[in-house]
Amino acid sequence: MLINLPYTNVDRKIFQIELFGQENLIDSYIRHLGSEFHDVVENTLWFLNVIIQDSVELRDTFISSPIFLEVMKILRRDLNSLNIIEFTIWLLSTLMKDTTTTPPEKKVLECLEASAGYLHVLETSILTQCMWTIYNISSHDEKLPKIYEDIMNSGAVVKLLKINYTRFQICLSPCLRILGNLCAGRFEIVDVKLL
Amino acid sequence: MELINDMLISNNESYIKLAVYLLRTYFVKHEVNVQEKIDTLFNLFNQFNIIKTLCDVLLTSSDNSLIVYIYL
Repeated sequence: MLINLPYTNVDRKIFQIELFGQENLIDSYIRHLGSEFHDVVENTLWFLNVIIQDSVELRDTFISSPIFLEVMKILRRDLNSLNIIEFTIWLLSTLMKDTTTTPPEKKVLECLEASAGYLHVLETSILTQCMWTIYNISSHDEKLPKIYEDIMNSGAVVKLLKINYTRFQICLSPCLRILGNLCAGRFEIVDVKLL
Repeated sequence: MELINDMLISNNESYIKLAVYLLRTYFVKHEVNVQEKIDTLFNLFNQFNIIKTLCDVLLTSSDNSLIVYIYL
Protein backbone atom coordinates (compact mmCIF):
# COMPACT_ATOMS: atom_id res chain seq x y z
CA MET A 1 0.00 0.00 0.00
CA LEU A 2 2.61 2.52 1.10
CA ILE A 3 4.56 2.22 -2.13
CA ASN A 4 1.61 3.91 -3.87
CA LEU A 5 2.48 7.14 -2.10
CA PRO A 6 4.34 8.84 -4.99
CA TYR A 7 1.35 8.36 -7.25
CA THR A 8 -1.10 10.43 -5.26
CA ASN A 9 -1.88 14.09 -5.80
CA VAL A 10 -2.81 14.42 -2.14
CA ASP A 11 -0.17 16.37 -0.19
CA ARG A 12 2.49 13.69 0.26
CA LYS A 13 4.49 15.65 2.81
CA ILE A 14 1.99 14.86 5.56
CA PHE A 15 2.47 11.15 4.99
CA GLN A 16 6.21 11.40 4.47
CA ILE A 17 6.65 13.12 7.82
CA GLU A 18 4.53 10.48 9.55
CA LEU A 19 6.41 7.67 7.89
CA PHE A 20 9.87 9.06 8.38
CA GLY A 21 9.64 11.49 11.25
CA GLN A 22 9.66 9.10 14.16
CA GLU A 23 12.91 7.70 15.44
CA ASN A 24 11.37 4.41 16.51
CA LEU A 25 10.01 3.89 13.01
CA ILE A 26 13.56 4.23 11.67
CA ASP A 27 14.44 1.35 13.99
CA SER A 28 11.69 -0.78 12.50
CA TYR A 29 12.88 -0.05 8.93
CA ILE A 30 16.37 -1.11 10.02
CA ARG A 31 14.91 -4.28 11.52
CA HIS A 32 13.06 -5.02 8.27
CA LEU A 33 16.18 -4.37 6.17
CA GLY A 34 18.04 -6.91 8.28
CA SER A 35 15.28 -9.50 7.96
CA GLU A 36 16.10 -13.03 6.84
CA PHE A 37 13.06 -12.96 4.59
CA HIS A 38 13.83 -11.63 1.14
CA ASP A 39 10.29 -10.34 0.57
CA VAL A 40 10.50 -8.13 3.64
CA VAL A 41 13.92 -6.72 2.66
CA GLU A 42 12.84 -6.13 -0.96
CA ASN A 43 9.65 -4.33 -0.04
CA THR A 44 11.31 -2.22 2.64
CA LEU A 45 13.91 -1.12 0.09
CA TRP A 46 11.20 -0.35 -2.44
CA PHE A 47 9.17 1.59 0.08
CA LEU A 48 12.17 3.63 1.30
CA ASN A 49 13.02 4.40 -2.30
CA VAL A 50 9.60 5.75 -3.16
CA ILE A 51 9.23 7.74 0.04
CA ILE A 52 12.45 9.72 -0.40
CA GLN A 53 12.30 10.23 -4.12
CA ASP A 54 10.48 13.54 -4.19
CA SER A 55 11.90 15.20 -1.11
CA VAL A 56 15.49 16.34 -0.94
CA GLU A 57 15.04 17.02 2.80
CA LEU A 58 14.03 13.41 3.40
CA ARG A 59 16.90 12.27 1.21
CA ASP A 60 19.34 14.20 3.39
CA THR A 61 17.74 12.90 6.58
CA PHE A 62 17.95 9.38 5.20
CA ILE A 63 21.64 9.68 4.32
CA SER A 64 22.57 10.95 7.76
CA SER A 65 20.47 8.32 9.55
CA PRO A 66 21.49 4.78 10.56
CA ILE A 67 19.27 3.43 7.76
CA PHE A 68 21.93 4.43 5.22
CA LEU A 69 24.50 2.30 7.07
CA GLU A 70 22.05 -0.61 7.12
CA VAL A 71 21.48 -0.29 3.38
CA MET A 72 25.22 -0.38 2.74
CA LYS A 73 25.45 -3.43 5.01
CA ILE A 74 23.01 -5.28 2.75
CA LEU A 75 25.51 -5.10 -0.09
CA ARG A 76 28.21 -6.60 2.11
CA ARG A 77 26.08 -9.64 2.91
CA ASP A 78 26.46 -12.84 0.97
CA LEU A 79 23.53 -12.06 -1.29
CA ASN A 80 21.82 -14.59 -3.48
CA SER A 81 18.86 -12.42 -4.37
CA LEU A 82 19.29 -10.37 -7.53
CA ASN A 83 16.16 -8.39 -6.62
CA ILE A 84 17.67 -7.25 -3.35
CA ILE A 85 20.87 -6.15 -5.09
CA GLU A 86 18.84 -4.35 -7.75
CA PHE A 87 16.57 -2.57 -5.25
CA THR A 88 19.52 -1.58 -3.06
CA ILE A 89 21.43 -0.03 -5.95
CA TRP A 90 18.20 1.57 -7.14
CA LEU A 91 17.93 3.21 -3.72
CA LEU A 92 21.52 4.46 -4.00
CA SER A 93 20.64 5.88 -7.39
CA THR A 94 17.70 7.77 -5.89
CA LEU A 95 19.91 9.08 -3.09
CA MET A 96 22.32 10.53 -5.63
CA LYS A 97 19.70 11.82 -8.06
CA ASP A 98 18.77 15.28 -6.82
CA THR A 99 21.60 17.73 -7.38
CA THR A 100 19.91 20.62 -5.51
CA THR A 101 22.12 19.68 -2.59
CA THR A 102 25.05 17.31 -2.56
CA PRO A 103 25.32 14.63 0.10
CA PRO A 104 28.55 14.46 2.13
CA GLU A 105 31.48 13.35 -0.05
CA LYS A 106 32.14 10.27 2.09
CA LYS A 107 28.61 8.98 1.48
CA VAL A 108 28.82 9.72 -2.24
CA LEU A 109 32.06 7.76 -2.46
CA GLU A 110 30.50 4.85 -0.59
CA CYS A 111 27.67 4.78 -3.14
CA LEU A 112 30.19 5.01 -5.97
CA GLU A 113 32.24 2.13 -4.61
CA ALA A 114 29.12 -0.02 -4.16
CA SER A 115 27.70 0.63 -7.61
CA ALA A 116 31.05 0.30 -9.40
CA GLY A 117 31.58 -2.95 -7.50
CA TYR A 118 28.44 -4.48 -8.98
CA LEU A 119 29.24 -3.65 -12.61
CA HIS A 120 30.61 -7.16 -12.99
CA VAL A 121 27.14 -8.67 -12.43
CA LEU A 122 25.94 -9.32 -15.95
CA GLU A 123 22.24 -8.84 -15.30
CA THR A 124 20.46 -6.04 -17.14
CA SER A 125 18.49 -4.54 -14.26
CA ILE A 126 21.47 -4.49 -11.90
CA LEU A 127 23.82 -3.06 -14.54
CA THR A 128 21.26 -0.38 -15.38
CA GLN A 129 20.82 0.66 -11.75
CA CYS A 130 24.58 0.74 -11.19
CA MET A 131 25.06 2.90 -14.26
CA TRP A 132 22.29 5.34 -13.33
CA THR A 133 23.81 5.63 -9.86
CA ILE A 134 27.23 6.45 -11.30
CA TYR A 135 25.67 8.87 -13.76
CA ASN A 136 23.80 10.61 -10.92
CA ILE A 137 27.02 10.76 -8.92
CA SER A 138 28.85 12.29 -11.87
CA SER A 139 26.22 15.04 -11.97
CA HIS A 140 27.45 16.35 -8.59
CA ASP A 141 30.67 17.60 -10.18
CA GLU A 142 30.03 21.23 -9.27
CA LYS A 143 30.11 20.56 -5.54
CA LEU A 144 32.56 17.67 -5.79
CA PRO A 145 35.27 18.79 -8.22
CA LYS A 146 37.26 15.56 -7.84
CA ILE A 147 34.32 13.29 -8.57
CA TYR A 148 35.46 12.47 -12.14
CA GLU A 149 38.82 11.28 -10.85
CA ASP A 150 37.02 9.26 -8.20
CA ILE A 151 34.86 7.62 -10.88
CA MET A 152 37.93 6.81 -12.98
CA ASN A 153 39.74 5.44 -9.92
CA SER A 154 36.77 3.28 -8.94
CA GLY A 155 37.41 1.11 -11.97
CA ALA A 156 33.89 1.82 -13.26
CA VAL A 157 34.97 3.15 -16.66
CA VAL A 158 37.11 0.15 -17.52
CA LYS A 159 34.19 -2.13 -16.61
CA LEU A 160 31.75 0.00 -18.61
CA LEU A 161 33.88 -0.32 -21.71
CA LYS A 162 34.13 -4.09 -21.41
CA ILE A 163 30.37 -4.68 -21.39
CA ASN A 164 28.85 -6.20 -24.50
CA TYR A 165 26.16 -3.68 -25.38
CA THR A 166 24.63 -5.88 -28.06
CA ARG A 167 23.54 -8.09 -25.19
CA PHE A 168 22.74 -5.26 -22.78
CA GLN A 169 21.32 -2.62 -25.13
CA ILE A 170 19.21 -0.97 -22.45
CA CYS A 171 22.41 -0.12 -20.55
CA LEU A 172 23.85 1.85 -23.44
CA SER A 173 22.02 5.07 -22.58
CA PRO A 174 23.24 5.45 -18.96
CA CYS A 175 26.72 4.30 -20.02
CA LEU A 176 26.95 6.99 -22.70
CA ARG A 177 25.67 9.58 -20.24
CA ILE A 178 28.43 8.72 -17.78
CA LEU A 179 31.08 8.85 -20.49
CA GLY A 180 29.52 12.04 -21.83
CA ASN A 181 29.75 13.71 -18.43
CA LEU A 182 33.34 12.61 -18.05
CA CYS A 183 34.27 13.79 -21.56
CA ALA A 184 32.52 17.12 -21.18
CA GLY A 185 34.10 17.69 -17.81
CA ARG A 186 37.75 16.81 -17.87
CA PHE A 187 39.34 16.13 -21.25
CA GLU A 188 42.79 15.45 -19.84
CA ILE A 189 41.58 12.45 -17.85
CA VAL A 190 39.62 11.07 -20.77
CA ASP A 191 42.66 11.52 -23.02
CA VAL A 192 44.82 9.38 -20.85
CA LYS A 193 42.44 6.68 -19.75
CA LEU A 194 39.70 6.35 -22.34
CA LEU A 195 41.28 7.00 -25.75
CA MET B 1 -12.61 3.11 6.76
CA GLU B 2 -13.60 3.80 10.34
CA LEU B 3 -14.22 0.11 10.85
CA ILE B 4 -10.84 -0.74 9.32
CA ASN B 5 -9.14 1.71 11.63
CA ASP B 6 -10.90 0.16 14.62
CA MET B 7 -9.71 -3.25 13.47
CA LEU B 8 -6.15 -1.99 13.07
CA ILE B 9 -6.03 -0.70 16.64
CA SER B 10 -7.86 -3.67 18.10
CA ASN B 11 -4.77 -5.52 19.40
CA ASN B 12 -6.31 -8.61 17.87
CA GLU B 13 -3.85 -10.11 15.38
CA SER B 14 -6.54 -11.65 13.18
CA TYR B 15 -8.48 -8.38 12.93
CA ILE B 16 -5.30 -6.44 12.15
CA LYS B 17 -4.38 -8.90 9.40
CA LEU B 18 -7.85 -8.77 7.95
CA ALA B 19 -7.87 -4.97 7.97
CA VAL B 20 -4.48 -4.76 6.24
CA TYR B 21 -5.51 -7.30 3.59
CA LEU B 22 -8.73 -5.39 3.04
CA LEU B 23 -6.89 -2.10 2.64
CA ARG B 24 -4.48 -3.79 0.26
CA THR B 25 -7.31 -4.95 -1.99
CA TYR B 26 -8.34 -1.32 -2.50
CA PHE B 27 -4.99 -0.66 -4.14
CA VAL B 28 -5.06 -3.43 -6.70
CA LYS B 29 -4.50 -1.58 -9.92
CA HIS B 30 -6.83 -3.02 -12.49
CA GLU B 31 -9.32 -0.20 -12.87
CA VAL B 32 -9.53 2.64 -15.31
CA ASN B 33 -9.29 5.60 -12.96
CA VAL B 34 -6.27 4.50 -10.97
CA GLN B 35 -5.11 8.02 -10.17
CA GLU B 36 -8.52 9.03 -8.87
CA LYS B 37 -8.72 5.86 -6.81
CA ILE B 38 -5.29 6.36 -5.24
CA ASP B 39 -6.09 9.99 -4.42
CA THR B 40 -9.39 9.00 -2.83
CA LEU B 41 -7.69 6.34 -0.74
CA PHE B 42 -4.93 8.65 0.45
CA ASN B 43 -7.51 11.31 1.29
CA LEU B 44 -9.30 8.74 3.42
CA PHE B 45 -5.99 7.69 4.95
CA ASN B 46 -5.43 11.29 5.91
CA GLN B 47 -8.94 11.72 7.25
CA PHE B 48 -8.84 8.60 9.39
CA ASN B 49 -5.19 8.77 10.39
CA ILE B 50 -4.61 5.38 8.81
CA ILE B 51 -0.89 5.94 8.10
CA LYS B 52 -0.21 6.57 11.77
CA THR B 53 -2.04 3.36 12.64
CA LEU B 54 -0.16 1.41 9.97
CA CYS B 55 3.12 2.79 11.35
CA ASP B 56 2.16 1.40 14.75
CA VAL B 57 1.54 -2.00 13.16
CA LEU B 58 4.94 -1.81 11.41
CA LEU B 59 6.56 -1.03 14.73
CA THR B 60 5.12 -3.94 16.60
CA SER B 61 4.45 -6.67 14.08
CA SER B 62 6.78 -9.57 13.48
CA ASP B 63 4.48 -11.13 10.89
CA ASN B 64 6.45 -11.01 7.63
CA SER B 65 3.48 -11.31 5.28
CA LEU B 66 1.73 -8.48 7.09
CA ILE B 67 4.80 -6.24 6.84
CA VAL B 68 5.09 -6.99 3.12
CA TYR B 69 1.40 -6.21 2.57
CA ILE B 70 1.69 -2.86 4.34
CA TYR B 71 4.59 -1.83 2.11
CA LEU B 72 3.43 -3.41 -1.13
